[in-house]
Amino acid sequence: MSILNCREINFSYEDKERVLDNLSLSLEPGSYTVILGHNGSGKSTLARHINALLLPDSGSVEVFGLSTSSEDNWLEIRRNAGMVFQYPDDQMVTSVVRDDIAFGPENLGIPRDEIIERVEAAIEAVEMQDFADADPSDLSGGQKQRIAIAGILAMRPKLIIFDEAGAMLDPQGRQDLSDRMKSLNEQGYTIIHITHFIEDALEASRVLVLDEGKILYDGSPQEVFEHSDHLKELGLDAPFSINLISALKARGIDLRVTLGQDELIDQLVEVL
Amino acid sequence: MAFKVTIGQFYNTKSIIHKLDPRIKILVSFAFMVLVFFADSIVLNVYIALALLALIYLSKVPLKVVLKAIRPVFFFLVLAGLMNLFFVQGGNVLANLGPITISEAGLNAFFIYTFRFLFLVVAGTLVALTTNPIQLTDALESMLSPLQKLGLPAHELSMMLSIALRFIPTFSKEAERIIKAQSSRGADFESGNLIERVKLFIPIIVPLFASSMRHADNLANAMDARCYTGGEGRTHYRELAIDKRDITALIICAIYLLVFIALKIYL
Ligand SMILES: Nc1ncnc2c1ncn2[C@@H]1O[C@H](COP(=O)(O)OP(=O)(O)OP(=O)(O)O)[C@@H](O)[C@H]1O
Ligand SMILES: [Mg+2]
Repeated sequence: MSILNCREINFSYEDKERVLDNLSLSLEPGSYTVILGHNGSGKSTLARHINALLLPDSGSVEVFGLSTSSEDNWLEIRRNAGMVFQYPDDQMVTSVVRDDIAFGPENLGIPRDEIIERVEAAIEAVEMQDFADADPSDLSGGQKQRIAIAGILAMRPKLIIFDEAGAMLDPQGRQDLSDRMKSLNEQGYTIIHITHFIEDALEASRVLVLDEGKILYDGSPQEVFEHSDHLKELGLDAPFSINLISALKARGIDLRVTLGQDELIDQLVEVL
Repeated sequence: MAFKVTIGQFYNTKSIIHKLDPRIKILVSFAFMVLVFFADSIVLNVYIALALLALIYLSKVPLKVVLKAIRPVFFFLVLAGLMNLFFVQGGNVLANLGPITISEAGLNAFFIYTFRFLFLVVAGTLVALTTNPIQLTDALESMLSPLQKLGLPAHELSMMLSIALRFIPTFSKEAERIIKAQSSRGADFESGNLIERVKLFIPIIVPLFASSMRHADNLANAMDARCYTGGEGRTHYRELAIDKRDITALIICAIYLLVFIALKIYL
């Protein structure tokens, strides 16, 4: 059974042009999906359909078998589909880390004793024990994002959507975030990672490329990177290994598309 | 250019004052502020000052920090004091410095009003220094909740205050950044007449306003995504509970009040 089912959704803001164009998508539980797309391709708009922050103009979105069209389902959907946003500062509600993590469970009306338990577990899960009583505004961007993740974990979701959650971080912070997603995925969470950094896609089990509200490519990272020339045209710059392979291809040297450095070196040695 | 904000500057020393129920602190500080207006003799003012000194000592907040927190109002304190000293006339003339005459009544007013104002500011500052902003807003919600039945949105008000306190550091950082950016483009905030200076602040206020709208929009989305639906059905992570410590504190305050009344009547 799929965890998410979008059927032919169309959406536009007010009377403007279509942002999502007859888009269909379904996701398996436990999957790790990266959604790539250039600025304005509709990634955030799609993400907001998944947790009922936006509703499609036509078509349907079902999350965990619940339709977003019925308002009664929204809380259950949002509890199960947590979302980490791009701007670390704009998702902190209070001025103490612990209390911020407790915000979601409080909203759900969880009994106090259980909130305390969940908050401690979530702090531990993101390794922020040393900052549990800090003021979030004193933390670094990467630490703020970890608190945001903890705030989602405390709601005990099944799916976590990261909407460019690494965009405001330095490369090290982005790498840490990516590692954290991988480990969350190994723990059984379904992950959707929206990004315009193509290297983030390496870890995913499935990559979707969005363009003008349509899914352009859909497949494993290897399959999608076959189209690296086209991706570059879309403003999605490929990592070094991918660029090298396509440059060699243009000169008549055919290599298998790979993301691993070692495998690339082996292949190069073979050709030379 | 310094752009520091002093509201809600929590200074955690984990003292007994910090551990008191925030509602007790708010109520007592209000009562104390009223009391200050009844202190019209030297003895009563000393009595008030002693209480504040004792509280500062108990709170373990360094005196330096308290002084720093009240520094922004220091100018007004001195100004108000001098106005009283020079303009209130009555009783014996104590000194005649050219056009300025200092009278007994003036000197009296100088002391009374300067200290009164100082006491009020210190009392308020102490509450802010010893109470975490979350406790402050929780206390507000709890104290206003009886009025909820009359239609007062207690939860919403406290949520607003909480978010406002939370965003003060964000906005002051942003303001600082904008000021730096404008300065590097040649804006000069240090000189010029009043109108010129006010004009200079427009390029700061406008982007700050725009960014606050963006923050508000993003925050609303993040709150929705975390299942926020208002106060109804919400539980609380922090629990406010009056314990023995709070009762003891209240008894001490009551005794203090009785002594104050006695001093006022018999002295
Ligand atoms: N609240 C809104 N009101 C009106 N138009 C919007 C709104 N949000 C987005 N849009 C428009 O919808 C289109 C898709 O925006 P969306 O935010 O989904 O793109 P995105 O792929 O997330 O881009 P980015 O990489 O910049 O985050 C853009 O043309 C954008 O201008
Ligand atoms: Mg986006």
